[in-house]
Amino acid sequence: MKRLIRCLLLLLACCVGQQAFAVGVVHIGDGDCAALEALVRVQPGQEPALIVLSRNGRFGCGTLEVNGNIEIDAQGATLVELANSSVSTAPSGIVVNAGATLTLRNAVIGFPPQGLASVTQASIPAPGPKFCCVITSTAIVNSGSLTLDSVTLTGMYYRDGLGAFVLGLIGNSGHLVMRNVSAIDNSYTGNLPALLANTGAVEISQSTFVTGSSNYTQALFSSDGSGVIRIGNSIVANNGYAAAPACASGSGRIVSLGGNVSTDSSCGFDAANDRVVADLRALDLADHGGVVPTLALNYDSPAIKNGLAANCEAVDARGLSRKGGACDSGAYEVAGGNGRISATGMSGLFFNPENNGHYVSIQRLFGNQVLVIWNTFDKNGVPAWVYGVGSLIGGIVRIAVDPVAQNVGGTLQPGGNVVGAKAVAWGAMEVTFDNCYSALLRYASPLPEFGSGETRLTRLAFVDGVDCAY
Amino acid sequence: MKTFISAILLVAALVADNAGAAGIVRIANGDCSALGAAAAAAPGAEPSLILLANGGSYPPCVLNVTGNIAIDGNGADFNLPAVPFTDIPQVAIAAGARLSMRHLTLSYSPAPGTSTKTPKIGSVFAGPPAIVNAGTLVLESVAIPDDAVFGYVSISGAWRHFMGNTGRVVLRNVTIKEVYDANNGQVADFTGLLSGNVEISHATIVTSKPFANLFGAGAISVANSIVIAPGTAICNPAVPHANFVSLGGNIVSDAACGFNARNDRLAGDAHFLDFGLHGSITPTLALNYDSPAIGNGLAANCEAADARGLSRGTTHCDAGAYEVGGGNGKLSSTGMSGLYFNAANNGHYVSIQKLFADQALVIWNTFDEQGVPAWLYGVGTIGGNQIHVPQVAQNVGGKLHEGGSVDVSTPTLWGSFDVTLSDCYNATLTYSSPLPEFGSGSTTLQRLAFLDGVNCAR
Repeated sequence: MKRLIRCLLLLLACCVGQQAFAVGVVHIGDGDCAALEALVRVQPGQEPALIVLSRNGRFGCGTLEVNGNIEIDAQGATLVELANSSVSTAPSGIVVNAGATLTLRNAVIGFPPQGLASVTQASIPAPGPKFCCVITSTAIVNSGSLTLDSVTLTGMYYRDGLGAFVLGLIGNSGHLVMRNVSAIDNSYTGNLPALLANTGAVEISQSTFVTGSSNYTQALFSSDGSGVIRIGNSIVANNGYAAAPACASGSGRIVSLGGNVSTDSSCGFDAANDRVVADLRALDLADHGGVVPTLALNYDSPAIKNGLAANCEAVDARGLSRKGGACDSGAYEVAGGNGRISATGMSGLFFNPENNGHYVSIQRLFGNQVLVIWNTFDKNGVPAWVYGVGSLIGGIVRIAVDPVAQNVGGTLQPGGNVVGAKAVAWGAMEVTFDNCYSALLRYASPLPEFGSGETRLTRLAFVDGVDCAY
Repeated sequence: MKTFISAILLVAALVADNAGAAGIVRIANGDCSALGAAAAAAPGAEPSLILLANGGSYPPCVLNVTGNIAIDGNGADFNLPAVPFTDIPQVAIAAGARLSMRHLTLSYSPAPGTSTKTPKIGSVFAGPPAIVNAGTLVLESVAIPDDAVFGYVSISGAWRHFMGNTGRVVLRNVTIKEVYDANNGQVADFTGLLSGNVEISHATIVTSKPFANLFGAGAISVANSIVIAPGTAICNPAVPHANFVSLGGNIVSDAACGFNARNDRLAGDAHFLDFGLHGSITPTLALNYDSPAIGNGLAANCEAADARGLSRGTTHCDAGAYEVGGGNGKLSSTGMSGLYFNAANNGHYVSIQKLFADQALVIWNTFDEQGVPAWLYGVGTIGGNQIHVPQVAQNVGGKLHEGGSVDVSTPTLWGSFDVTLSDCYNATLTYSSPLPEFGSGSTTLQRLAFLDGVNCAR
């Protein structure tokens, strides 16, 4: 039997066919366009197992032409053209030929806000930011299969000027998949009918397309011929000063899978949880903990929990897990990852608005431990701060803190030292959460100046990074 | 012009030999037949992506890959039993083919008819390995837990091995915990859990089992990983390891096979915490604050993200699949949140809670020079590693009433704070108050507690 297994493996290795993937993981050094261009251009059967770009690197390359099956983990690197000081005659930035496949992950295409990568405003060549100097073709041309996953396209500028013949950002006639993609503040005045001009098949999931008022943009999407764009759990807002609709009228179809938030009705989204809003209540496009920048949502964004559960991706563009019941529309999940109230989401500052003037600070520690500090007074009006590390009790979100200590006898010395403080047993506390915003503190102390009682608590502040999700 | 261009694109669409024939294929929870069919797509007809059900569970499915297949597990369990489900490999990648699996747990189930994970000796037919790779297999952010028992247990009886690899295997941010591929040394192809051409980066591979060599023969490279096997040799001593390469940054329980590159360190205990989700969709082995793996990775080989997708440190990263403080843990950001005290003057505490944008809440629980307890607080502005709180308040006049209410408490202006954080563990609080019972001064601070989820990453 063992011999049989060996034979089977040998047969698979030696007799069945050629060794297709000639090399394993190939790491590309920062800015090494020659290596990158050569590697993505290889013929089928010669592809590497994976191409990994230098973390946060910058690649001002010519055309990345894909002929085989290529997967790139960009590790937050930026694909951008910096070499030319004027519009050049370079062809498209990315070309996926018919029959080829490109999967691009964790990449920034264009010009992110300052500080996200080592791209500065001063380094952006005139006449403005652009990706790979598009004149005679579209920036990204897909005739095969292109998957953009956790990719941010931002700060790109297309125009027909200087005698140039500018087409647009993405022209798709193959299969295009966009997952957790952010296309933020790109300007476009080209001749294609939209930022994404489609005659093939496009699937968009949990992506954010937003153009701010300082950018000129024609439509974001157009679908012509037999083209179909299917879009779900996404944000579509064309607020550029071109006063163009989000979706251009075309002969193809744009099909909503539900859970979309848009700022106009031009796309005809009419599935469950599709809604038109006046204000997305978005925050900044920045590093929010992932490897590519994302457009964060404010706490009151209509996109929060607007996604259809059936179409929720497991993670957002930062890799943080999305909420289980109803996820947020777009590429950014508020409180993704750590925000459960039963976990780190409980951390923060709480008070009683009806009895303002005393505060409870809750800090979730490792394991099932929680630090609770109550800054209050005793019945004689003496300030008091009592504290303890409690444990979470299963079933409901409850913290039992026993014992609670009070430090007494301390004296502040001139200069900053405190001497003489010692911890004495004070009693016990218990905090029970109703939800992310509301809790009840119960306490019991044998000290007559405290006694026992309870007070309702309302959240006063969230801790950044562990915002409470559910 | 627009019509003309659209027409060009349309023609291109019709003419194209379209490789990605099916775009995204979503596989319903547990639907093995659909998954097997999608994975078996012939070259040129593969879907762009196979997407499993979010958090789904898949029984032993048979995957025969001949093309270029990418599976995003979406946090699902893909069952990989130790006893052959059939007499063929459960996952087979043909020469020339490629299978990429992400965000997946290769869960384990005991053999049919057994109720425990104890190896059954003496009667089980030994089929081919669970995974037979003759092409390219990329596992990324995949967990393989827990007490999964593979391999030969005795000469008379056998379970199948975990993997037979004659192609190329890439492991990135993979966690393999207590996967047991027992080896009796009789079959050269199966000299360890992983053998052949294997590239390992930021993996956590841990076993406490005896007779469970992790690495067999072959060209194996390991970077920024944790490989702990205190009960056995990491590399099977019965086979040569001339082609073994350490790329450094590893925490290992023995160095016999050549872990002698920069930042390779011996440690019998990596100081793990629990094996859980930790904010992600596939489980990871978290590191305790004192783990030798923290900051041990070589910067040149640091992956951008850990197995949870959280960004790693740029100047330092942790060895293994889990990054302490990944994502938000920069000291100048949320990493500053936590509790601090002065170890030399214990008895007063400073809480720092990073809020949104550039704001931070600072609370000092202390006493005044008359020995009266005081708690002082304010929201300041962060600039680099400093917090400036220009207006610190002290609530005065409050009184606790029976039952729990507090009234008449009024905030009064107390003074100002400046907190300077020199690293994740050390800071200085400088204060200034016009109130004579406080005055001005400073106190050094040491970290007393980390907040879960935003642990400090440096």
